[in-house]
Amino acid sequence: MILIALIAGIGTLTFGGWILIRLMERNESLWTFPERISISFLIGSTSFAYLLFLGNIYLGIPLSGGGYFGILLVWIGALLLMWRYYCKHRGWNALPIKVRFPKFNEKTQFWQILIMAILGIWTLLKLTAGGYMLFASPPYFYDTLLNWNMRGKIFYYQKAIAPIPYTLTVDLDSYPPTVSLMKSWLSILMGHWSEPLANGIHLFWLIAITILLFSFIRKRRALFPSFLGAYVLLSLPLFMFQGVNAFADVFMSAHIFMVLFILCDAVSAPTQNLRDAYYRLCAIALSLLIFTKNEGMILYGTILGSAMIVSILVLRKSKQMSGESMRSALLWTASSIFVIGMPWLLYKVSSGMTFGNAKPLSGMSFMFQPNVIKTIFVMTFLEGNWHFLFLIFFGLLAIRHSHLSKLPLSLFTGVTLLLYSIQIVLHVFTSLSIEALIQTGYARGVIHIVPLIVGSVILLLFPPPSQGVDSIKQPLMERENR
Amino acid sequence: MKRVSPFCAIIVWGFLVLFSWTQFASHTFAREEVTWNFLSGNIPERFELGGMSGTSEEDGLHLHAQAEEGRMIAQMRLPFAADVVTLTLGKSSKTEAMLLFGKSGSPLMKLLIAIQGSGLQGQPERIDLPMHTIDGWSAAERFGIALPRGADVRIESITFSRWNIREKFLEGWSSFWTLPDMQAYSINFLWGPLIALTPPERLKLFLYKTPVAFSVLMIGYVVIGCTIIFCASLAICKRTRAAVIVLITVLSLLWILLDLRMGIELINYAKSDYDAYLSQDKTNRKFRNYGDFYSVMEKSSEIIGSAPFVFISDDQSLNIAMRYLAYPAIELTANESGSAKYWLIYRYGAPLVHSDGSLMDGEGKLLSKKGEIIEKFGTHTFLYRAQ
Repeated sequence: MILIALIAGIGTLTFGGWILIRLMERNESLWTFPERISISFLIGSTSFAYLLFLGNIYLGIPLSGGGYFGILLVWIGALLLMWRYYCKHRGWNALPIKVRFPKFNEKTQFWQILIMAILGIWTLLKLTAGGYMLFASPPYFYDTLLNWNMRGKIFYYQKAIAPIPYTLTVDLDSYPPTVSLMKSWLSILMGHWSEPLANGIHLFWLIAITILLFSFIRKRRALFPSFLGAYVLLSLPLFMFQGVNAFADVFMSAHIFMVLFILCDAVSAPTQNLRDAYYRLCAIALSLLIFTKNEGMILYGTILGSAMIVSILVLRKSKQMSGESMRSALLWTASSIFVIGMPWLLYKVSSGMTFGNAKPLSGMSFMFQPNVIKTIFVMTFLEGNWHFLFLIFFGLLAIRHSHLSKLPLSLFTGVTLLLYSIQIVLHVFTSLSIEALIQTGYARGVIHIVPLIVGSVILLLFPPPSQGVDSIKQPLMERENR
Repeated sequence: MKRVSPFCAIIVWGFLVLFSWTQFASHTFAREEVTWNFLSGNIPERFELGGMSGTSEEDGLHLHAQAEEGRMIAQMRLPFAADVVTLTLGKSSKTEAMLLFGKSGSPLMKLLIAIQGSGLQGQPERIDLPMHTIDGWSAAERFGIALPRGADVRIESITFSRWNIREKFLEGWSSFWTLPDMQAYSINFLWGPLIALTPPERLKLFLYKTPVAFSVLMIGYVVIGCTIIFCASLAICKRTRAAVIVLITVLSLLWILLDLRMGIELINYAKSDYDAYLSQDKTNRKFRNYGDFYSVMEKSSEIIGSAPFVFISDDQSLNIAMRYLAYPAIELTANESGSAKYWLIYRYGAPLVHSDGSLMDGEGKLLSKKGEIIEKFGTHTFLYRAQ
């Protein structure tokens, strides 16, 4: 029964996301099947949570079974109707053209296959153990008990986005309700509050980000480096541990990575139509960041949004983007952010909610905290969180910095470094330093961007294939001809 | 004749050296131990006593700081610098003492030690102190103990131990594979594999918030540093490809070793949950450091339903889990408790149920109307329903 509810719950949201992606693709086909499924799941689940929020807060629709299914049916129904209309009247292809990863002139060696098999089996073993804990063990950690699962329970039993009924020192109700709404949704399908389902969905976010990282590398490198990227990500102890526990940081990292993933594809797109489609979807992914965690709006949305706008302007200036495409991309970005951001912003302001993660922005002071530097150093290099990842990352940046002059690696790694630098600055110069000193904040911020770091490491470590796919004009995929 | 690769030669040579060293070192340097035994009236060393009485008795050296802080100092004539000092105490009061050590003629350094006083139950209390991690210990010539006023301590023995290099290496290897229990802070950071050099440190590796051990990553960085130097020399000899292969191989092996260790830790967490919680029947389940709390809450929630309730426990750290597990039932505050139908008492030391059936706190204050215990879970743990 749990399996059926899980498949039905995640499947329907992924289907909704899939249709939404098709509408944005129009008559193009952007991704391979694994990428499409992962992005459909991420966009679909967060979009559905956003619609639930709109329906409950602004329209008073109760979050009962009827409310959930009603909103779901209206959402998917509208998407299907639009899709049918465009297929019938605009001649769009109903199904996407099959897209494959490029075949580089590099044959996978036997020793590489052997290593992939051994490390793959070991990684599956770890995922199985972690997944078992997620589905079978009760929730344990503070934020799960107080925030993510607690709010999911409240939404389920109150049938509304209701506040936590206890006085707290932290304004947890100010967090976007996305993660908790997903838990509530899956429990609705079971007919009762279900801990296994409420916790189990986190495994799918972990799998989604892993697939996206693999795909991002696979489009630019051969199979072996791509596999290594996925293996390295899942071998990072703290990332894996967070991914198999009911915390929202891996969920956040998946959305951040998705935005940059799509943006890099947009920048590398070989045709104008493909680029337009990528930017439409990037706009939606960016605006959905607002509805993930508080830092999705304040920190990551701002930086990634700026990167997106800068990329549009640079492409326009180098005449690789027409004026019409530029206006369309900017319009999509502005309107997506407005449609998703404004209702959420209005709700927060009218409810007197704070902006910030753990600490409200309004109360944040700026002062140099020298002790934090040592703590950050220890947490980065001397604890069991990341193995030698940061040593390798900084080492490769020093040795291979000449590779950073090419798009999209320069964009990808540049944004990664910028986000990491901001993390350091926030913890060293603001009252978030306390979170670093007591080791409750800094590492969690790094989790948000660690897939970006792993991606940068692999792309820097392995030279591009002879076709030079780091060039922005080189097609990343092989598409079937119709 | 095929030329032997220098890389292979170095690896083989290195293993031969390491193996020989671990074998021969054990014959040359055995584990060393010096014990000051105070049982049966024995006084192994000359002590200077100040501010307290010291009597040699059958069950050890009896120190009593009656009127003021007292101290006992002796010259430490040891043939080695001890790694660990072990205090074995008999019947003693619970107190905080100071270990004193230093060079002759210099001010003594102090190390705070907590005496639990478990010797009162007839079992010796053993306190292991990893002194080799303390600055200034290796040069110390004097050793002693200071007690606060009122402290009453019996010392059965003081043992100074030193492990040889081979034993430290083996302890370090064992500690590498020593796995921690999951803690509330594990979601924020993971200690990773730690290196403890002596058995007492390894046995208590993850018991303290800050482990008395160092991260294996420090060794990793030394290995990587040596490898980089070696690879640089290869590169200078125009063997760049070999240098890159060596560096990548060393990094990969280190990474895989760490992944193996941390992966086993993750699997061990799942196994521990299965062994202690998931495979047990509901009455015997223990969930991580919560013990039987989750089982008690599960059973109580079935009875309480969504009715408001009062929760009383000596352990306030349970509140967050309690509120989550009980929801949709809401915990009432002290001001609202008069209207509560259910009271969940979890390991609350003070007797609560009055002879007439009403609930009272340890000071005799009436908490609830008359009722009855409807579910008893253990000592001082029950669910009470008011009429």
